[in-house]
Amino acid sequence: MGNVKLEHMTKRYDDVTAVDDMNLDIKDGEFVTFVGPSGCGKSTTMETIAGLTKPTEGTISISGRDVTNLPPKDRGISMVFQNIALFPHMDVFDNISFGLRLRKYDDEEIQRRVDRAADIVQLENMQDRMPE
Amino acid sequence: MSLEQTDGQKVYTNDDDSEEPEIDRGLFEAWAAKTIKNPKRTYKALFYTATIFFLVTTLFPFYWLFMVALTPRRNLQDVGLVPSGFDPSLLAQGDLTMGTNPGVFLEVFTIIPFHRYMFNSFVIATVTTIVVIIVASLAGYVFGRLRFPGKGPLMLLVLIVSFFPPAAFFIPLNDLFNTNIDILRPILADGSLYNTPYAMVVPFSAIFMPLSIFILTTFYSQIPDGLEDAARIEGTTRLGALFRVIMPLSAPGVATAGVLTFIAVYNEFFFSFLMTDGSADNWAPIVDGILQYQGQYEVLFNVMAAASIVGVLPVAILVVVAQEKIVSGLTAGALKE
Repeated sequence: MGNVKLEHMTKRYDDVTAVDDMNLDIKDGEFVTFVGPSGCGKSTTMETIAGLTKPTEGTISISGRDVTNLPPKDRGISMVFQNIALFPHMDVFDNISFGLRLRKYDDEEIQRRVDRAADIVQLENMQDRMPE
Repeated sequence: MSLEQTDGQKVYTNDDDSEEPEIDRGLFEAWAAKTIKNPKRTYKALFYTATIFFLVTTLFPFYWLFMVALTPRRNLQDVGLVPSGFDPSLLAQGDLTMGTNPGVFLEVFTIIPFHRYMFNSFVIATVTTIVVIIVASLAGYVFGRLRFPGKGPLMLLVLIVSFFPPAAFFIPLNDLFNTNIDILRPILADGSLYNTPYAMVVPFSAIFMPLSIFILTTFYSQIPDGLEDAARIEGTTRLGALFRVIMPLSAPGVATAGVLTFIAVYNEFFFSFLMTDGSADNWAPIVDGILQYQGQYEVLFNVMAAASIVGVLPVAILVVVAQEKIVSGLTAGALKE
């Protein structure tokens, strides 16, 4: 966990300004919700914090570290998507362990964590099933 | 002409009398009436006619090759629908070949090292396919998934490049490949690319690249953004997402591009024939091998035919196997976001 800080963050697509000079300071442990009509820049803000898009201007820092130019994988963040984003070509185990495998955890650790996660969502006996 | 007139008259009288007609129909008319009543039969008949037509036109050359191959050399001037000299009655006398010459399929390998030519072709086609798939994947990702100024003109440029006839590239390339380049000396015997597989892999990759780029662009653009975003959040780079998520999900497209490239390279004649001196040790492909059976005083048509069949078989098998994969990929790949 850490503070998230946006400073003068602006995102422009061609001629549309999606987010205009946004300043935001989220304290550690704070629960923040963005509400607004569609097209007002909620998703764009989320995407810039996650690193999926780069802001046109301004800086983003997480725990005091400037992450504006870091790719998402180096920001230490997680994101739950609006649409289910299961990888259709991987079974349940591979889907759950995708991030762990990318971060080069050893096999036993991956198995242990996947088992725990699968247990929580009651998928323990379906780890080799494919998403439908 | 007279037939048409009588037909017309008959129809006219029927209308006039307005009673249930009992026309005596010609063969063709009877058939037409039947098909109107039962169109499915006609579709089936048309389907079979078309299928048989295309089967015959595609398979007949192979049949012909096979017949030429089996004809004993002394009968080569007289090749028919069956090998000249073919005589089933010889079977009774204990001649299992029945007057044909199946031994030619061994001769293919004894006259020249034809297996080496096949190996060369295989290596060249495989390497080219790998290069094309990797580079075209990167291009396909950029064209299919990113938005940037100048994308349209750039794609058009790729398209234009593919319009150039390969022959237009040949003379400058041949000149270049015959130049000794000092940097290459440690890797290649005399520092030139002539007589090496690179002399074929490089131009083939360039020539067959645009098609693969277009195929992969279409496929990659259809993978939902959410999946790529999820992969990137989970810890891949854009490149990692391309190879771990986008490419596997576009497997049918990748297979199509790969198979098309492989076949095209395997079949290529122009560069294959001119970029080597034609000897097996200098990476000459199958084309050169088949032409080696042509001597100064004699052309071994039967061996050439046999070599052609032998050369086609591995690729035919490969394509059949890959096609199954393509079809299964198409039916199983139902995407859901």
